[in-house]
Amino acid sequence: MVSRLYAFYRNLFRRKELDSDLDEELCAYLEMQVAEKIRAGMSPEEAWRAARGEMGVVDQVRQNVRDIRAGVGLERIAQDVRYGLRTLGKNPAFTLIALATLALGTGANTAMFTLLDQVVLRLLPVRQPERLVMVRETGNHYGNTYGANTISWPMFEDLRDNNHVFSGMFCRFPASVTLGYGDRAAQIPAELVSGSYFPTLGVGATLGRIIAPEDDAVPDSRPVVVLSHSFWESYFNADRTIVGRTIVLNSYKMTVIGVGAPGFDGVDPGNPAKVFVPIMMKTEMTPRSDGLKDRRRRLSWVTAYGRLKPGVSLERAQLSLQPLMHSILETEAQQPEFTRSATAADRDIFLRNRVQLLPGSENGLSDYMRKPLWLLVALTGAVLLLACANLANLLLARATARERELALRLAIGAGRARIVRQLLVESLLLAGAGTSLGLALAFLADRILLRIYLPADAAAEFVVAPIPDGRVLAFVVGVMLLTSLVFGLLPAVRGSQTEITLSLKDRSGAGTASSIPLRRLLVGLQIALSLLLLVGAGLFVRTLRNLQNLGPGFPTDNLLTFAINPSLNGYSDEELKSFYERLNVNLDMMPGVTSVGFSSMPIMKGYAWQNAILGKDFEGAPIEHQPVLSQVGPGYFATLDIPVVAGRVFTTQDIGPAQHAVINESFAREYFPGRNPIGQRFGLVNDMQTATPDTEVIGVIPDTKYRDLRETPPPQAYFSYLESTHFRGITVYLRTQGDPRLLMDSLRQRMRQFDAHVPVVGLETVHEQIGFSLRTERLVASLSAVFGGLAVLLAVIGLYGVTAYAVSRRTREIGIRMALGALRSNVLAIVMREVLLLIGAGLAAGIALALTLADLIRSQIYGLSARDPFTLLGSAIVLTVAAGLAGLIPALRASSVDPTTALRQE
Amino acid sequence: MGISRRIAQMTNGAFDVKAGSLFPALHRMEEAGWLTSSWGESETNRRAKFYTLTKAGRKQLETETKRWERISLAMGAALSNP
Repeated sequence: MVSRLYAFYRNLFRRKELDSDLDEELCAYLEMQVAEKIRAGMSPEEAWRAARGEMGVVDQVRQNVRDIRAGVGLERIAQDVRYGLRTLGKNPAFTLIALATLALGTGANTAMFTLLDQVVLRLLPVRQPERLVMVRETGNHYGNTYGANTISWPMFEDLRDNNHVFSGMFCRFPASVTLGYGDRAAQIPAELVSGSYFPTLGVGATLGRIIAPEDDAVPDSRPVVVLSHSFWESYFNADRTIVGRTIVLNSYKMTVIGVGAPGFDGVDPGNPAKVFVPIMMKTEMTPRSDGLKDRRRRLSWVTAYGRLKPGVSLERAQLSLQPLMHSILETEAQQPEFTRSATAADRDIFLRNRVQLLPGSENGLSDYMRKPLWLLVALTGAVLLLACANLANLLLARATARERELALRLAIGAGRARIVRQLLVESLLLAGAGTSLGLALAFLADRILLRIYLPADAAAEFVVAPIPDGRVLAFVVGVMLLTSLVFGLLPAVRGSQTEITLSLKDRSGAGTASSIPLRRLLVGLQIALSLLLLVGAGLFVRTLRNLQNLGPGFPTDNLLTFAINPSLNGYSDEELKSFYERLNVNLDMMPGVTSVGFSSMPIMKGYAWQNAILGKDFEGAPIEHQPVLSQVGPGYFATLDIPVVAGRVFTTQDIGPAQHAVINESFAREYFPGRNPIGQRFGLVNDMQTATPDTEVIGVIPDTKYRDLRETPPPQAYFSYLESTHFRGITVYLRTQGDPRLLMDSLRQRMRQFDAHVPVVGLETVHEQIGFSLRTERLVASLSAVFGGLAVLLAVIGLYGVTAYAVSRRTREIGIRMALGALRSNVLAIVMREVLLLIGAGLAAGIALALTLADLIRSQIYGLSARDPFTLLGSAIVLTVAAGLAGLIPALRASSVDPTTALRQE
Repeated sequence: MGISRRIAQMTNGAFDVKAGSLFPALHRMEEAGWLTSSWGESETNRRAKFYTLTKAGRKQLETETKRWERISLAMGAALSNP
């Protein structure tokens, strides 16, 4: 064994020495043979000749001996690799295009699928994440809700204490809290969690301990906090002495009891939590809204999760929870707060509500990105197909070009196996390099895309593995390898069937014509696919344009916005009122600011405050038809440049106790049809007390967008915040004289001077804010445009290649035709007819495909049909022109062939 | 050189091993560790390579000889019994 290893080593690294040793040995043998023959009476020349004849070709003996050496396979492969690198280097155009194709194909796919995998399909980093479910109630709950999947605290308690399907249940509430440090303040996302949160998730502490059930037993009793691992690292520099120290949250001193497990940022990765606080501290963490002590069952605010008991499936658990849910609903429907705000018809609908269990790893971000990401994955799938077709085409073209080289090598004695292996190595080299490039590209692309999608700090913490999921990797790399192997080996297989002599003799390589139909098919496929991608790009770009052109209904130039929430600092209602009044005056005086408006609801951010209203002639409404509401300051409408259609808007004199409202035209049409809305009264339906219509309409404004650009403006009613007795955070809007971006720094500074403990959140221009709200559309539009462009480029390269090759093979035929009197235009027509036929066939297939697949993308299209004829026609024209030009170049070359030269070539 | 002559002598010329077969065979056995080689002087005072059986080689020779005996016995039996 040892000697065998030694031989292996020697063969690999001391080959030269061995070879010369062998030569010497063979020489000595030869000389001895000769000497013996001379002794037997031959002349020296005769003896030499005879000895050589007996020995056979010296080279062959030498090769035979070499072949039996250990490790010879490895040595050969190294030789092949070197040779392969040299051949690839000699043809840089081919190598570059092939590498770019491979990198693009693998890169785009891996990037998109990794994003899909990590954002949409990823499971939470907890124990057995697949056993974790979110517990939600379907249907309308007829009350105030904080988000789509929330239930009330009493309902959570009922479900937790009476179910038989969960081994544990917990709930959480995401909140923004103000973290104080030194003389500064920042707003950070916090997760208020029930005591069972960490034990049920199975997440432990890196340092100290996690929140235990006894921390969460009595309201307001335990001011403790657990830091997320990433926050501990980034903010406290991974200080190991942090446990036991206190930090200030919302002006309360909280003791740090531990640091969470690495990678765990709460149950909503789209909104990573930085601190975890017992939910019993809700009063302190969310001043002015106390869902915990306010035991109203109409108030849905917690998200509940359960861990399925072993052996219990999600479906079975959901089924067995229904009776429990029904009895809870029966109790709730009898409570006065329900009967106050709901009708008898509502009651029947309410009792049909059910429990629904969702996979615990689903969240807002994954919901939001699911469709666009699947769409982009599908687009990149088409790009991959195109890249494969292009690669196949390139390799086939190269194979034809190398036929002579292969024939030559066969002729001088290379084994067919050796040639096949050589081609295999070359293909693998290409595939390997291209795929690695693609993976690097994918990693970079994912980081950039996540930055577009997530808020800056969340993107920094969102971990994208540099090595993508094994399945993705295997699939993409497999497809690329297969393509390059199949089409890289084709020439070898065919090469070994070609007659060597024929191939060598024939200059124009007429030996094989069989690759032309295959290459035409590939080009046709490329054209069809690129048409599909172009149409997609056209549709998405126009969708984005349509949305951008929509506008919110008021001018957004020179408009700045930010949010503040001084109520988190524990200010009382009176203090808040005075804070806002002073702030209004202060900002009004700021140089460069023309007007200031406050609103309790941010607009165009997808949020809505909806409530049923009642008046003389109307009462209640299903939630979809309820008007959206907001409390605003006196300067709000002037700042947003929303004109007054009738009546007046709020002034600083509207401070209560009389209640006034400004409504939009939709509201007037819906609730006061055919009447003058000014002076009409309505009231908000409230489950705390019987509602009275005591709010008077004083003005009407035109319809503007409220939630997002896509909506039809809903009925809207605005109240004066000065008439309110209950204050929370506000969103500030500033109309500026010049570029609003120039004011940002001085504004931040001014706010710090105004009150250093109230952090400014989300300072941006309304332009940017609306731009951000279209980020999905922009992402889809820009990526599909890039993919479409690349697809056309690939198709054009393919078409050019196949036409140029066909023309070069027909040079002689063209020469004869011209010698017989064909005009240049005739030749041009012959070539272009084929090119146009090919384009036409590809386009027909592409259009059929586009029309078939149109329904799949309908939900992502706005303001035009998914079968929009202009887009289809435009894409077809662009593609025809580009591909036609690609075909025209070789056609022109063919038509300028000089008959004498063409014929002399043979 | 000496080896092929000796084979020819011993088999009365029935086997004439040519260089094309001899050298690969020798090197294969060396790779397998059954032979060692060294340069030396031949009886005609020329530089020549000498091959010596190693311990492993001798063992291999034994097993191969046994195997051959079994086969030739079996062949003989098969051929003599019509």
